[in-house]
Amino acid sequence: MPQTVAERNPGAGASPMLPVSVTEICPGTIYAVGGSLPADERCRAWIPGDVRGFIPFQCYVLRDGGQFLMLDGGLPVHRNEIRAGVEALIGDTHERRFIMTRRELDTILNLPWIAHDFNFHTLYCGGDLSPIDFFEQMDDASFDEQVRTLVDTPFDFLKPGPLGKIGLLDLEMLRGALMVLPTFWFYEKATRTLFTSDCWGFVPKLLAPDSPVRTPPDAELSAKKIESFLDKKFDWLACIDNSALAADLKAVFVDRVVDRICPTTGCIIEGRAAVERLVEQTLEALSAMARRPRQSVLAGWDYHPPRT
Amino acid sequence: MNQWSKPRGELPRVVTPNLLWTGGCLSIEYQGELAHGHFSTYLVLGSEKSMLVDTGHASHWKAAEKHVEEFLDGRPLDYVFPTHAEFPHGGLAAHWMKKYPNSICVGDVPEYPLYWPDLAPRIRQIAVGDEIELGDRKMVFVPAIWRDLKSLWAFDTVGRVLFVSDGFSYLHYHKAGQCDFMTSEHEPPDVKLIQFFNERALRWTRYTDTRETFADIDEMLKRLDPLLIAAAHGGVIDTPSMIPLLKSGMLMGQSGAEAKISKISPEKATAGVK
Repeated sequence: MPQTVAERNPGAGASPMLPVSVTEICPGTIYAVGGSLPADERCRAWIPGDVRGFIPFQCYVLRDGGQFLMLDGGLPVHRNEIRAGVEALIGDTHERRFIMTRRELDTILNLPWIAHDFNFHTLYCGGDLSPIDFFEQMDDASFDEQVRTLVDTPFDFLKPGPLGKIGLLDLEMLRGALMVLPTFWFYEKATRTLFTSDCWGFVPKLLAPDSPVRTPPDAELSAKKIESFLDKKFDWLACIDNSALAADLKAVFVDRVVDRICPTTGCIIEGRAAVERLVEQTLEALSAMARRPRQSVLAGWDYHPPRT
Repeated sequence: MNQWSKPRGELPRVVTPNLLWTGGCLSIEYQGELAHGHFSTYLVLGSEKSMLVDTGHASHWKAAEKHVEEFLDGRPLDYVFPTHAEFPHGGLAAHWMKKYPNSICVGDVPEYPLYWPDLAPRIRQIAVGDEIELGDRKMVFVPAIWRDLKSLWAFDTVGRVLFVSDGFSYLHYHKAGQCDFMTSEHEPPDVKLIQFFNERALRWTRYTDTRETFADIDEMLKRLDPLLIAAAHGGVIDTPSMIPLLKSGMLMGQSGAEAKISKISPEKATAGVK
């Protein structure tokens, strides 16, 4: 009889040798690697201004059966923490892959030294090349050029769909339901873990040494809090008919059981009930955003050039 | 008769003694033809200080570095202004800051110190309404109306150039020898191609009535009265007739006709291009 992930990796959390920059999410297979920062001005690209505490920033490692997959590269300011984490986890894995969930600076800037120092054999990014779509071809060509100027490691695009096994882990790539630039989410079926890139990265932790894995109380997952996050990160969702996007979001969870959400920013949201509340409250937040009338972008802008 | 330099067929183009248009195009094979798309970078040269607008695409780094150095003619680059933190616009900030060690990076990019911690003391957060003196001119930072990530636009007060990042962008098939054409120097782009670009690059345009944004555009253009509109993707706009065309290019989804132009042929798109 085949082993489950838990059977193969008994002793959840029993990893005394792991550095503090590594958090074991699922025993022996899924890890968060990174650090945290006080919720100050530097975090304002990701989180609303009223969030307090510490914000974890992490990339993820999926490891099983000699395979090693890294999702994103973390922040350069956490370079030392990420190096220590990857060194501790990579061991003698023989198949080392790196996937970028987005084509943005916070997912890629560490890529050159990670790919070089840890001998990754292939890098991937989500793409959806359409032979009849000039824009998509240009966008992918642009990103391909970007990556090739950064690293020598072979690079390729992945299409949404099943990606195959990492040991007993079974990974699927999805188009991100909520995003600005092209973003891909990843669902791991055996552990029911959804990696959502920059979506839902707003849950802080109280103190820097605290674990980045939390089951937030309902008040922290309210529609208001989520709306505030969406306004910060995906403000284009306001004042539009976002019902199609809400439907896309619902579809992700109709088809999949999700026990935890793993974003690149903010705490990992642990527990099926918390995930269900998060989704329900997000739909409510989207609805509230859609109802807002569009405001002038120029409100408060009073510049008049001097007459020449 | 305009006051701009003549095109040479490729970037860089010294548009005026105070404005360099560099960067480049990426060419891809599309339906059997090589077609180009712009990734532009601009340099504004004031009498005292200089400012780079957008850091450019990584594949154009070597060329842009040379073009900027030549245009500066021994002067330093003082400011690097990424309009936003997307790769082709802000990804090379550190390259420029390292090449010009006294330069300051300015932008609405609070996260940049986390990307380049060693350069953090030279990164300044700016906002709408801020101004930077370049000597005989100022760069004034203005709201970005059409955008993807959070962005700033900028206005050169003497050259009257409005730098609009992803706004006012247009896709038009062009070929080698046409990369530095301004809008007065090529046939108007196909509106469907502009729609095609916007509904992909600016996703929100698919889900709303974009006409609600036009009043802001009109107000900004009325107030600033730019001579040139310098977008990151597409040629420099020097013809007022492009504005209604570009607005039409924002009309899709709830705004008007659905853009169904993915199969338009390069031959049709380039027909009549000078």
